[in-house]
Amino acid sequence: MKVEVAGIGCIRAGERWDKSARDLFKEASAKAFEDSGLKSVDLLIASNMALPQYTDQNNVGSYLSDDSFPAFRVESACSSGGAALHAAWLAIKSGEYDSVMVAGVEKMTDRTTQMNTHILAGASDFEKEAFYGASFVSLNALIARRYMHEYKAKEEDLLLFSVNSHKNALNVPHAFFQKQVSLEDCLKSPYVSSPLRLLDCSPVCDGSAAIILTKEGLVKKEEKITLEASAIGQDTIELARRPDPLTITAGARSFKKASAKSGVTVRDIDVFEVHDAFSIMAALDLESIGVAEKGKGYKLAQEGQIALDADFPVSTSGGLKARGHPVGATGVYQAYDAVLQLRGQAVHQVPDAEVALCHNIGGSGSMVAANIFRRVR
Amino acid sequence: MLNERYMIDGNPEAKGTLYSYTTVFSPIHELEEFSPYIIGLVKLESGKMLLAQLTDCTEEELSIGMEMEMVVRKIREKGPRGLILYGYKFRPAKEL
Repeated sequence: MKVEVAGIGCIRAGERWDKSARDLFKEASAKAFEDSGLKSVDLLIASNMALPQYTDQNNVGSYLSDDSFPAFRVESACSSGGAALHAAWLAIKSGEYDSVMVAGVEKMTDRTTQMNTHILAGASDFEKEAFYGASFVSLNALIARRYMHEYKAKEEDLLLFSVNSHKNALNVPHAFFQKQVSLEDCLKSPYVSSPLRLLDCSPVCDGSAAIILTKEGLVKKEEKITLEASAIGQDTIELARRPDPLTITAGARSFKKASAKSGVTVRDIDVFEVHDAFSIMAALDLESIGVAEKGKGYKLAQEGQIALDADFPVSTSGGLKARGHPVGATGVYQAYDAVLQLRGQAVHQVPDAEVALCHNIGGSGSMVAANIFRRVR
Repeated sequence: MLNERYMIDGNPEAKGTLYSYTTVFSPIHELEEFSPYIIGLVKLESGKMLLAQLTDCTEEELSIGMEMEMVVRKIREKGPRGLILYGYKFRPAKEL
């Protein structure tokens, strides 16, 4: 039995100081309901990383749903969205639920940069990494420096992923940044954790995105879009304990499983919503999927292979870097962007997009959720 | 001066090579006063990899592959009247 996409909705990620997380969810979910034609769902699975720290709010499922429908939160740091999609897929595949809303929300901008640094370090191993002074960015910086050393990549090569993301976000109504950046702009931005610069890193922002998944045939849609396969791959939480810190093994595992379940190979994929939280992650994510050989991911941007009209379109609405990265909501934004492409409704449309991969990395690579969407003719 | 050599010499868990490093400009809580500071990944002689702050050096003096040795240092303080937490850091290995 297939799992179908009935509706999608999201708000533009940004600094929404006038709105609570609940308000943001209401906006996004209202759009998803309208898009689906449904008035309610059997279950709400909320994805959120840190509302308790950002706004002192636990019990997130109930906070969002109130008495509308059964609800609970799924959390796996930056891959909370992808994990929530996985949970919804399981709920429907099991036959227990006919319709499930997956809604991501994150409210980051009411806290200072310093507080955000502390909260985001929670995605790493706090006892072994943050305790000794490693901020989350710095873990990615350690990976980036070694990667550049081993594979002769330069800062410019990685920054081209950011340039690509910003280009794809231009005129996209729900993108946080709608401004192109040049490589020169990127190289002039200050180091956050050497060798990663400000423009290597996705922004802190508020956001909410929602998608309604249903059992096959529940809602009649013009375009039938399925969540074809969903899988989780795992690795150590601590970067130092990975056999190879330069491989996102969790990503290789998640994609391999999703690929086996769906029969979809790299060549079949038209849209790659990868986890470009940091430029280095985009390159490594693409390597883990098999788009590039190990150590060659950085060449993809340089060689123009990730452009919208190339073989491997990446971050088609701007990705995490430009569309925004409200952490716990990101996986759902990836799904939103994927479905837009498959419907032919994207601002920068990949011609005849039929299969989209959403790859959502948690922590520095501790867990990856792979969700493959397909348009069925 | 504290004689740290007895902890380092002959101990494969206290020596290694530098796998990677970075200067942190946006510090973690309770380490603001030390910012910016350097952290690194050190591949120990024993085979394990450890993440730790790098001390007694500037970023310019570091290079991937250089010999490092473990030292005991203060990691953080729990406020002006709280516990002082010590742990390991690494510094460029000293020529003897």
